[in-house]
Amino acid sequence: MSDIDMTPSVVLVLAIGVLFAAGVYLLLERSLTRVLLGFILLGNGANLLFLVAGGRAGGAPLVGTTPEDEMSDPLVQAMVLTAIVITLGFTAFVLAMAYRSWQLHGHDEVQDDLEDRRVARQAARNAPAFEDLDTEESGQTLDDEAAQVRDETDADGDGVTDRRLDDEGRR
Amino acid sequence: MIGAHAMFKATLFLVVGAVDAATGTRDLRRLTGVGRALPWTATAGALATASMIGLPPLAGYVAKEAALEGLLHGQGPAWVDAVALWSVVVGSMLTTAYSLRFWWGAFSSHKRFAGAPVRANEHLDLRAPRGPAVEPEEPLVDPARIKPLPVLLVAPAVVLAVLGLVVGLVPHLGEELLQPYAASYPTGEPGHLVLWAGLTPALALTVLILVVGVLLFWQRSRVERFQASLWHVPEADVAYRRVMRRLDDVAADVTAVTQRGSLPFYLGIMLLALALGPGLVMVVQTSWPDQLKAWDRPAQLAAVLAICVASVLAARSRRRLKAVVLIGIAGYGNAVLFLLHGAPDLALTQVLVETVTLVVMVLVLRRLPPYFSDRPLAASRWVRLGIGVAVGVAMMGLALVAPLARVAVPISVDFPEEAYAWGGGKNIVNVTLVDIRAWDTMGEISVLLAAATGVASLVFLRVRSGEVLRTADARVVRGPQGQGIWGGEPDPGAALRRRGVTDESQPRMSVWLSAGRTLAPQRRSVIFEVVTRVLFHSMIVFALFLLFAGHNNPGGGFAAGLVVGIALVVRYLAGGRYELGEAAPVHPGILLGLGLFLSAGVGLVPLLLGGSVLQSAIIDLTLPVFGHVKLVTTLFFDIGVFLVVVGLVLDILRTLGAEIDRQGERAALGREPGEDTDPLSALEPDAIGGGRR
Repeated sequence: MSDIDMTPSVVLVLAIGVLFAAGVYLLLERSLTRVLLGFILLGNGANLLFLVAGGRAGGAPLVGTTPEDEMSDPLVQAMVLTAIVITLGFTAFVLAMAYRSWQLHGHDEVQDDLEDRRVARQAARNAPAFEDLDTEESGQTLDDEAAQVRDETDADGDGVTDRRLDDEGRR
Repeated sequence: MIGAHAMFKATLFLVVGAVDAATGTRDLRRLTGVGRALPWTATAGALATASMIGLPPLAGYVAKEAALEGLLHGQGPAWVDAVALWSVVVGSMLTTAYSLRFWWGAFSSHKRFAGAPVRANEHLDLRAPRGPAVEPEEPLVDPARIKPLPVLLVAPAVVLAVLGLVVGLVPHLGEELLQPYAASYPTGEPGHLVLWAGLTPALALTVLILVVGVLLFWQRSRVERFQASLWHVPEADVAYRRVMRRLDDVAADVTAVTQRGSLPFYLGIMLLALALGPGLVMVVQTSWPDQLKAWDRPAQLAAVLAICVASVLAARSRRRLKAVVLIGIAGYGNAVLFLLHGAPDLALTQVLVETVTLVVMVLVLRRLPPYFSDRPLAASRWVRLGIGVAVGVAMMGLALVAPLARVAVPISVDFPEEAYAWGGGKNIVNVTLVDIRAWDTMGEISVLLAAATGVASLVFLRVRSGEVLRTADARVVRGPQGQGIWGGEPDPGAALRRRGVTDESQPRMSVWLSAGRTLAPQRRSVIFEVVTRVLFHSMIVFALFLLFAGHNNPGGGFAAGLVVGIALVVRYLAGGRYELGEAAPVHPGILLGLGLFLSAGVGLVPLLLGGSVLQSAIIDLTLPVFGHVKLVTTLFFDIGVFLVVVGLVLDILRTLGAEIDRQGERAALGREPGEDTDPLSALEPDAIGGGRR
């Protein structure tokens, strides 16, 4: 066992729990912006988890300023520092994706994969296994199907993605 | 036997290939007169066929004799030997029949048979082209045309066939060649290969085989009818296809169940596995800490409360900007926790990153709709909430259990001495980054570079490199209403502003930011411009201080780069995109590349001096002005990190700030944002009225 006091402090553990819970809740959304915010919260929670795993709080790990046995663990700090900066790069990248998605589609929602849905539909049709034909053509191109697939963000089914700009009152 | 087999089988394959090349088909029903047209091929085929059916004096005969002899004097149980022998005999009979049929069919000139046998053959000829050209009803299918063959195609077959003959006539040759290999088999006594061994039972068997084989061939139409009348096992081909179809079906079903194509679904499954896997193990098998402390320092409670409230509100928020600000609060709360934990470097970096993130988010969000799109997913919200809480609880358990599960002494207890003795720095975290764990940092700045490149690629729709916009390039944006950058909205204060003062008549000395006049008048703030002008250089100096002091005090390349980044952010916010070009008249790609090059290069230099990669050295210098300087080579590595971070922030500002501005202005002028891909309009960056000033 190490000689460092490893007893976790409850407040930090609480912060980790809340950050992870809120982060996961947002991460499971479809809006890319919310996914990003969820990821940032998740990242903050993970950083705190690192901190807790490194042991108790202490003085700054500066030689000469803090006695060695009072220092906080410098290794986890170096790791977390790297993680913080990477999160910045990640944030910028996802933001650029969200912006591009908005430019192209008018929203930043993550859509379902069309190819996967096609597979699911074919499996549901359960074509007989005793046809010796090599291929089975559905006679549709991917574009045709893309036009047919229901848009998840299209609540009223008019084929136009809804962008509700004013619904604060409904909440 | 195997040697003979190789000779005649190879010949036969070659012959079939030659016939196919000459006629374009392998369908016996379409082949006639091939033997006359290709005498050499036919001869080779004949020799090989004869060898295969074991006709003397060919290699196949010799080999088959030897094999039969061996089986007649087998050492195994009697019934095994008998079964083996008669299997070989019957098999050889059939071989004789089909070999003759092959040679006759391929090379002889025949009037085609009547309809019946052809139909009987149908199921055998799976590879035959089943097009309209081959009608089973037609007794005479169109005979294939025969092309002459090049010598090179025929010669190998002939050589092998003749070889088969030679080996058959002079069997000692083969025996001498093969004896060493045969001797390497552990069992069986050495046999001999002879052409004429006298009137042995083996010879009798061979004769029997030949006679029955010829009989079968002679009565082939009856045999074919007999075969056709038998129930026949589905051919391997059909069976294969059915198996594959089944496999496809199963694969499709499995795919449909598991691969839903929905990102939230995947993430949900993964997170659930994360919560349940380690979570259950934790519940069942771990020992919980028997003592807990509420906090390390009471102030932590306040920060944690702020984090919790901000996170929960952010998760509930429907408004983008509100959510972003709340996330920012949670981030600053984290910074406070870092500081209280005794991690000043982390706190500094976290605050700087949080600031940059906040600005960048707002820069992008001003173009996105203010509210998240609303979807009727009330049911799934509870599922998401459930998964979130489960993961949160699992992580809390982990945070409680993991620290106490440690059995080894942490590696970092030696870091203080090592950092000072070998790394030459007092700030252990910084020494860890640039020296002890420098590979980590190297990987990280590579990721940053990739992210910056990705951001630029996503947003810059015209040339990826783009040019650095300077004030001189700004053909000042005078749109339809004469607004500048960020204009386009009604300007209530226009009447209060004295026309002309902010423009040409302004004396040079009172210009605070050189690109300030490119902004719309209502977007300018003199106070902001003055403060920016005053602060910018102080910030750069502070950043340099952090960079050089980072080895001994909190700071370092990351923090310094971020401070410069924030200085650039301030310049951009105060003076618009042309001001950004004035502040940093370099392409971010150059900074990124230079930084990575410097870090990697410094890492490689020790190799040349006989050290290991990324090894550091401490150089004591005495300089005229500075006096005694302790120079640690990792400083250059840190400068590389600094450049990469500056490049990243500059790249973000140029893309998510300046370029989105530009696209937004175009959209406001009635163009759709996607239209920027038009190559012609992409050539003129700001051709919106007005000439060069």
